[in-house]
Amino acid sequence: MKKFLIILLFFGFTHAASALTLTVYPDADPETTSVDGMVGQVQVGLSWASITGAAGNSATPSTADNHAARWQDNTTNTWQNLSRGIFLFDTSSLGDCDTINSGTMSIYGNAKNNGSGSNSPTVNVYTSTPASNTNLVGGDFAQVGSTAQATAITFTNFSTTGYNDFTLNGTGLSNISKTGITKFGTREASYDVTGTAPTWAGDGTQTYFEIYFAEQTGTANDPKLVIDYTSSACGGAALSQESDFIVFE
Amino acid sequence: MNIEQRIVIIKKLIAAMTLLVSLLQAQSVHLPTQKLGEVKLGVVKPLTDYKFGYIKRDDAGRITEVAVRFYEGAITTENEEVMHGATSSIEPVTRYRRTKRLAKTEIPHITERFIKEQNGADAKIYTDADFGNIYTDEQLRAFLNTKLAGDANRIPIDQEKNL
Repeated sequence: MKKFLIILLFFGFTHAASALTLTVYPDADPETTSVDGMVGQVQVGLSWASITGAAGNSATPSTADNHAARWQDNTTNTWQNLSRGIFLFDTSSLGDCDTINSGTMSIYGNAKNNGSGSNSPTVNVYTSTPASNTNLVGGDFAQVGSTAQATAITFTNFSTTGYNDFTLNGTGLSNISKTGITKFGTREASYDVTGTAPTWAGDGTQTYFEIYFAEQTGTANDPKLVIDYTSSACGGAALSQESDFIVFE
Repeated sequence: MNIEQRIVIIKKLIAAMTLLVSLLQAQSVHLPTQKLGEVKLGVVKPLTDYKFGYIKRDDAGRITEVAVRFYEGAITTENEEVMHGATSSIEPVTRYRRTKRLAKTEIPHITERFIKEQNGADAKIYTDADFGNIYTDEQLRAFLNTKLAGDANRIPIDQEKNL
């Protein structure tokens, strides 16, 4: 017995902890856990300052493909539509004492359009604080943050045939919840977040990054959050794999 | 042929005609892209599918644990925004839409380990003890498709059938 305990202690304190990976997906409609979808402000004749600062009046949490970021021009130098994305992930399967090493939020592109081509739109990940974890309302439009959680992806580099990967920075990693729901969102980064009006291109013209949400049929196009982490027992030695748990049992 | 034999034949004819009418009525509700469900003596079964909740991998990339969400749904037509380059319009869109998240008690062909997610919904847990040594999402889908096929009350969507 004594020999067994010595072996256990040796294994527990000297066995180097290795990185594990957790991939998490939003819950498809009808949501019971973690919603994703698009929110927006839809109103004709708004200045850029008015539409970016609006309270929001539109939400589509149940469509399969929609926009991670979008604006639509109206009459000269006014706008009628601005959209943002919201993505919630149930990350409670992480351990409270696990160490998060890196993380990537990925969205699968479906289409994109650059209005007249005279602007340089980009899209990035931000935090979000929707009123509910399982539904979206218009007011959630104003609940997408403005602090970048990753490096923005340019219009040119945005893929419409595969995943677009946003590697989370330190702030983004710190916003991953180990006990509940992790809440991110997407916005157009060069004009919406900065408040700089884009060049008006013509009434009805849209500029957008279109993606698949969790409602898309199948499992190959869903938004996802990939977390590399080291599993640790609270107050104990670092554990590397499930087999380690078996040893300690 | 006596009267009793004639009555038996007439009864069989009536039964056959009733069955034929019920089958024709059931077929009339089919949508063009995929059947709502299997037609069996006029009974239409709903469709079913699954989604990943989470996937855990070890340091070698081997899948060790998966949480799976099961749903019931149908192919329906609803108005949605459809993009046309720089413009868009609201149009009828026909596609698979989920109508409910299935609880553990509604999928009795899938047994044993479930977890409660945030808000209490059931998610089925599979581990490498169930699917062996696999590394890719594609291998995982092939395994889960076999589980979906075991549902006697629903029909898997085309995208989640092993061919």
